[in-house]
Amino acid sequence: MHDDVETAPPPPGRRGRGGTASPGPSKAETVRRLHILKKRIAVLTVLGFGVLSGLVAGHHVGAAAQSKPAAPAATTVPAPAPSTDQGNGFFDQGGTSDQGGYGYGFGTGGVQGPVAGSGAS
Amino acid sequence: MQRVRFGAMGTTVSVLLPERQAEAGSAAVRDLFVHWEGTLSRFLPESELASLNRHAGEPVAVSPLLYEVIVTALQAAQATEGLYDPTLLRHLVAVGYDRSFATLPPQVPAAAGLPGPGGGWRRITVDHRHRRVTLPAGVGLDLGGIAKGMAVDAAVSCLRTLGADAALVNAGGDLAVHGCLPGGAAWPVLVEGRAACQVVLLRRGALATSGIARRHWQQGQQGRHHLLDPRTGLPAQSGLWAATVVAARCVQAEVAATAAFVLGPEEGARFLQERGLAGWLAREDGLGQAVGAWPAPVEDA
Repeated sequence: MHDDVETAPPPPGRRGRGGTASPGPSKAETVRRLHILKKRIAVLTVLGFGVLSGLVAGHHVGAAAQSKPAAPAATTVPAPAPSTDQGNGFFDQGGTSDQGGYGYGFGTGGVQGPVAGSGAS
Repeated sequence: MQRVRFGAMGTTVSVLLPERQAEAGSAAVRDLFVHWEGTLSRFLPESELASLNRHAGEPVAVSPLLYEVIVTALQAAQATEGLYDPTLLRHLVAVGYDRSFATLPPQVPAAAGLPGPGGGWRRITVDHRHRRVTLPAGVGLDLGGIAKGMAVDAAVSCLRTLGADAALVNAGGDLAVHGCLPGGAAWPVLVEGRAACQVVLLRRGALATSGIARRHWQQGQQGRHHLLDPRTGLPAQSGLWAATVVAARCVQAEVAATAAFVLGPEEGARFLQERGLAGWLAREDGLGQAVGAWPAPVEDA
């Protein structure tokens, strides 16, 4: 009788009892591994391209949003302070008395009579 | 409180102080005003300002006081875009105001010629390092109004340094206060209008009035007053009789009142509002207009 016996190849690197070198992966195995590696590289390339494309697109959108002109008549945007004294601070009041500055302030209540007159210079 | 009065800078200066501080405080204020007048009067030939005016066209080294007032005047001119103009001396002389007002007759000869618009302040050069000032040839300084406002501020500062608990210094309507009246009350100040007066309570800061109630005269057939419009070089015809302004410092109130008077009721009110100042604009027709935080009158005088 003849039995079909399929003997598994020895694991790579394992040497035979006779001391001969193992033959290593077969050509077919090497081709198979290369094929798998190519597939993985292709997948990673596609994924990387997608990530980079997303980042670039996001950057463009942000830049476009920043350079977009302000909407007209935006009532919530505070108007700039008027140029009151050509920038030299001559009329700086340092805050009114209500704000705790040195400023000026008025009193309230009744009076006995004026202690000074405004006159006119 | 005790009041001390004396004459200086062409007006009456009034100082109100607690009794125990009145003698020393008023003496210090008097010395200050005498010094300022002697330096800054355009009517005193020996004053430093008169000397500078005589040397227009050449650089002149000036004292720290004159330097400070000139620099402040130039800042004020810039801040008002020339509505306040310290270089209208020739214009004032041309319309007849060529001597102190106390000696000015009610009728002066007609003008021989008028200089036209002002603006000479733009051509003044200041050497900050050497404290030298060069007036353009033909340009003279009149620092009367701004010097008075600055003197009031300096006087109040001096009194504060001397330890005064409270003080009011009033130089012909340019006034500033420090502290409060006994009991913590604010200072009642009478503000004149053409048709009626009112009293406002000033708690802090300064008040100044520019108006034509007092300093006016006749030149030939023309009625004149001392508040010139730098845009024409002639007495302003803005529809206002007086402009009273309250500000942190008297020099600010003085300059703002002058600018508002020149501009008239509408533009003057806008000018004050844009700068956060309070004021009362008394019109020639007798009506008045409160501006900014100007309070409701507490009493009709």
